[in-house]
Amino acid sequence: MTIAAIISSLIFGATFALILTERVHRTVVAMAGAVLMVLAGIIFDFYHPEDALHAVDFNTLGLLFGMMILVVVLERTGVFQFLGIFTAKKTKGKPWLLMLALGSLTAILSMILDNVTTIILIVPITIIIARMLGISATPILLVEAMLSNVGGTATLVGDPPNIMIGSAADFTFNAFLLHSLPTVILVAGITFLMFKFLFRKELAKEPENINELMQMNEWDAITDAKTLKKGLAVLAGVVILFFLHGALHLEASLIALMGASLILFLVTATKDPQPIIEKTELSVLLFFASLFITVGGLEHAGVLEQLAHFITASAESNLLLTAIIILWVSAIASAIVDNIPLTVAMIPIVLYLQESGIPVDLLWWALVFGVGFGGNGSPIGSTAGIIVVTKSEQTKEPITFKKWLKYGVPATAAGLTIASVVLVIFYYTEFVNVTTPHVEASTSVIEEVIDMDAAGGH
Amino acid sequence: MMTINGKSYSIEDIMRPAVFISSDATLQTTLEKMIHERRNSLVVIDQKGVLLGMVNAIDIIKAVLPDYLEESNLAARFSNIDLLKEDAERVKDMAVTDFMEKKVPTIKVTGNIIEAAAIAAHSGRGRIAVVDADNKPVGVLTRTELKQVIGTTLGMCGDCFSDTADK
Repeated sequence: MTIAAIISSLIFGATFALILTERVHRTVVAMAGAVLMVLAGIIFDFYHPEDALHAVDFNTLGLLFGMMILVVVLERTGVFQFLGIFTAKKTKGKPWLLMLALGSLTAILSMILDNVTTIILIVPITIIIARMLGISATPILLVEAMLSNVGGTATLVGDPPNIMIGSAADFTFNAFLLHSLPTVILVAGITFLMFKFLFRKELAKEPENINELMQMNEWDAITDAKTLKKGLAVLAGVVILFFLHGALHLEASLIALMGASLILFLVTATKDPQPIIEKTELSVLLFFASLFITVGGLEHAGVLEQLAHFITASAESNLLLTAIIILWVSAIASAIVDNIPLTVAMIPIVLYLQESGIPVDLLWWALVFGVGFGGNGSPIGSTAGIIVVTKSEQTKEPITFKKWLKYGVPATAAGLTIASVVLVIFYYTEFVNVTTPHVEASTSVIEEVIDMDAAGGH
Repeated sequence: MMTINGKSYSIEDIMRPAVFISSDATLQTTLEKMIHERRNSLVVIDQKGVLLGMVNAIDIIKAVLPDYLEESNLAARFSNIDLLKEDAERVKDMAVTDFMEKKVPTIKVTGNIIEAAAIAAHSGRGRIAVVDADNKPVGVLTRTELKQVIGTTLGMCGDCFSDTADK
């Protein structure tokens, strides 16, 4: 091991460990890690500021920022609360249907919005409705937390790991719809069925005061119909362009930023957009950029290449088994630690495997499913889970760690089992490329990724 | 002591008497005292009479409302009085020390009125606890008294303090 490898591993390890402890805020830790990594890189001559700039995936940051702006504008119009009440009324308060409807709504919203926003908006309405009806909020809240993560896995823009993986692997929006969405529908289905069984007692309860629910006027939630119309029109345009971005050769980030730019024009053309920008999570973007830079140092020091060599032999001899191992290991890791640093570290490793001629598509999907579904394995595995647990503390039946293990973990394990079967199907039907590509082809993809990073850097 | 238009005023002269609540009070007894005494703010003291904090009507509201409603006015539009009753029942036995404000701006009874005004401006709070040398609260200075000081300096009322009934 070279001195660069040792130093960069130490910096990365310390950063990762500090993020894990949650004693210091993750953005503050990651930024310190990034700065240290570049400093060490200059001193030991393995990583330079221009390398760090190239390590940042501006496609991911642009896509996230663009979507954040759109969501900030939309969330202030009350449209999400409107949808929550509208959906709940359709179920006439029947607990099982309510769980199914609000869970599905959460999953669908999470496909386009970030999970945390979806959860923050839907949970208060859920608790109010459940309390009004005198039914248990637990199964509904738990399903919402889990399906916000599951739903987010369905699309390119649903979850930051997908954006990162999609950007690195050059997967389009439609590639996600084709590979991930059907898997997500299956996993959501099994989650509903398992919860229907596990919560059979709670869901059998007859709701009270159904009239109160039916008398709620969902239109009372709409605070700004004018902005809502504009926001929905722009969002629709963005989603249509996402469908076409592969064919149009437009980066998804550019589309999201076009949408953001248009909506700012439509709602705050004459005023400083600062109040909207303040509501976006710039801290998250700084966290991601810092992670890219920290992991970039590890990559330049040759550490990730060595790790990749470690996996190459296994991937060459048994691609399917390697994919399934990646699925479960990344899932278990995501249940314990933040899935973002994990994804950022895994991406260059898979790219190295690709460079050495291994067909990596199956591994990418394994990673997508692992980090996407794995966060549901514990109440601290995802931000959505943490929020739901915290909010439930003020209901009659708080969702405890034990409750999560009892209901959430079996559902997560079932979901991962389905994902394993999907990988097996992908492999044997050759739905994804599982044969060794020509060396030229694989190099061109790497170049494209590098080009993209460079393009984003300017 | 400060002199306005030839008359001397000390904090002791202008402060209003504090209404105390003991640290072993619950949310319910605190609320009862507030309603009974027609006060929005009580001074929380321990058994020895030492200042522990202050509790305001807004602290009661915050304790009763669940976080998920405090953060979402939009969701709160759809709540109803039955749920509020349930929430109030849930927290009525909570100790006052669990929801009071612990960081209370204080001024010594021997202090300067302008200093009290500066503390009020700086802390953004309308109420300052007036304490003696042993940190035992002896009264409260509110926006009202400080407003009256300014009114008196401008000669708006010969002695704005005696003009008001709520002293």
